[in-house]
Amino acid sequence: MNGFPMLPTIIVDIAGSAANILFSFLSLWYAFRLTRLKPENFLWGYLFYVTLAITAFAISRAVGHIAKEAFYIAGKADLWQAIAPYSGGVNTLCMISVAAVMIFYHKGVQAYEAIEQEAAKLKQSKIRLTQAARELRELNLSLEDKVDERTAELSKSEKKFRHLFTASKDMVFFSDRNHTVQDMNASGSEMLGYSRHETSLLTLPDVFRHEGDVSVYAKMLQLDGYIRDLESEFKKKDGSTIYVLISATALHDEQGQIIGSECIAKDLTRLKTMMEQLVSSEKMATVGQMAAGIAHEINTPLGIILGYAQLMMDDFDKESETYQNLEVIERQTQASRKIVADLLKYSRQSGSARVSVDLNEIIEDAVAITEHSLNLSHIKVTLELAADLPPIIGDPEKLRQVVVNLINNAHHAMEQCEEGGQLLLRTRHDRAAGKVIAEVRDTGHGIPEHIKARIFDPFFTTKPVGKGTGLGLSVSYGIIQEHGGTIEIESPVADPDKTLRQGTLFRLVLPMVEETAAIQE
Amino acid sequence: MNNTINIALLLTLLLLGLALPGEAHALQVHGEPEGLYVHQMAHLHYIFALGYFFWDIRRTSFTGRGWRYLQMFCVLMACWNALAFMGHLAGAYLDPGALLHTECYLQTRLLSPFTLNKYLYFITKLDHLIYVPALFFLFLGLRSFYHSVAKSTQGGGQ
Repeated sequence: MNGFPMLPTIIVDIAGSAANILFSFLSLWYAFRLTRLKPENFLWGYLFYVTLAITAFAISRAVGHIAKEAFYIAGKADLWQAIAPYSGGVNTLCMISVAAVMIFYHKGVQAYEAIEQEAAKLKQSKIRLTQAARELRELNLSLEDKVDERTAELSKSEKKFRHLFTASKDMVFFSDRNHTVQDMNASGSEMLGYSRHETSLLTLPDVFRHEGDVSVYAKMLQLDGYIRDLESEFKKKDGSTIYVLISATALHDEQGQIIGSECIAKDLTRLKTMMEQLVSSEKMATVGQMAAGIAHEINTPLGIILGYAQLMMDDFDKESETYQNLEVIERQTQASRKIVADLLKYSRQSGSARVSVDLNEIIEDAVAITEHSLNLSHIKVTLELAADLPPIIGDPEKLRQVVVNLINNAHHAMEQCEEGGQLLLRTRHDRAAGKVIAEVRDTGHGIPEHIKARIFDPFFTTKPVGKGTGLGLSVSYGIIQEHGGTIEIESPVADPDKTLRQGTLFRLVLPMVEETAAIQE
Repeated sequence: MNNTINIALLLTLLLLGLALPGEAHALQVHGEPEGLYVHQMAHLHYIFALGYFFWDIRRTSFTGRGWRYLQMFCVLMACWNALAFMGHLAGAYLDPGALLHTECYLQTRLLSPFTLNKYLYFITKLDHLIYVPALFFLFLGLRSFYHSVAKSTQGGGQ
């Protein structure tokens, strides 16, 4: 029998169909697991549906083929003929479905790519945002650190300059454009005698002694922007004056307009006083040298004149006119010799003793000498002598002369008063300073301010001609200086309750024994 | 009034038309060969879809073993479709007397003389020799995707 057996095709058909079912199910299983792994991934979802359609097609086809072969083998071909159209229809339907799903792949992938691109953009944006946020956070942290660092630096700097401001021994103040003092350090308040609260109410015209100085201050700042070493005078709360050296800088706003000034004022009062004293000392030293020379030259002829006058007086009757004339010569010559002696004392040409001296005794002696004349002028003398006054080293004669001079000056100041006056002599011991102090206070007319600086000048006197030589205080000044002490003046005199009273107070400040000894050495 | 008459006339004509359809031929009759044609067209459609799918995989430049397996699936499945298409044609043109049916179906024989159509018929009956490898590649592709995704997920998880 010619022909070719169809058995191989039947075997391949059955075995292949079974393999189809197996592989399609395995494929579907992996596709399903993929969707479980990445449920949000479009591609795996799509592949699952493709595989599902392929599986459906493969199964419909494989089942159909196996059924056909089974029916034919079983000899039920007619039964298969009845089922075949349905099997073929399903098969065709599944095949069309598979093809349709595959065709949608392109659009699906396009959509997926678009979504992926958007997602990538979003991801990039997120990364950039995260990075920007991190940078911002770092910047913020860095900024906070920098702010902390700068704040600490500023605080340190502020503390430093605040300390400089508060601890400065010079006056430091800030003023605004209206010349109102905004802030003044403690030294400034102390220098002017105001409380810290009061300084905030001050203006520059209140501070400057002369109103014109405020204009000069403002004008210099306007012109140069700063002031260097301007000498001026400030007015204290009690009305007294302090001499200051000013350095100031103008403060500007952003437009360059002056909004105020910062000023440092150094108190020169003490320096100025010292300078004046130095000038006075120099002046007195010069005058002293000159006076000493003159006195030395005059002293000898005066002695001869006096001697001859006294010799001639022995030759004439006391009632005679010549005798009386000789008396005038003798008296005037002696007066001249006294002046010469004073000049010599002033110029320290005369020798000095150095013994232990009780200042109380000196004062009592001086009062005893002058008491009579003081009583005649109705001047009440009061002594307040410290009982525990330590001795000083010095020349008792010269010291007595100083006290007598001061009492005489007080007498002259009070003798014009109708109701007399009061003279107070007081001694005390300043243990802390190691000084012995003697005060001579009167209730006279006082010393005008403008001549205070000149009263120790040689030959300076306010007394009428013939009444004073102008050497008394000069000599006293020299003696006290020789003893290592100082003379201070108060006129008017400030009471302990700060009340100012008419009169003058001379204060002799002398060193105690130990200190005196040191000076002598 | 005229409008009312016109509307009533139109409604009457519509009702008469629906009640007496006559030889309207509104439905087309589908003859026997249509099923084969549809099936053949479905094969062509499937080939086109597979080609499109293959081209799209290349276009999207997806790399990796899985995508290569999937492309192999497309090629083999397209070949199977072409084979099946020819097999259906060969079956349609095969003389029913060319097959000798005996009592036992398994002993069915393709009788000589052998023509090109008969050879084609016989060979296309062995279409599973392409179809099974195609599905095997589909299985390999999906398994490969799964393992690579699972590996990357684990790697990411760590």
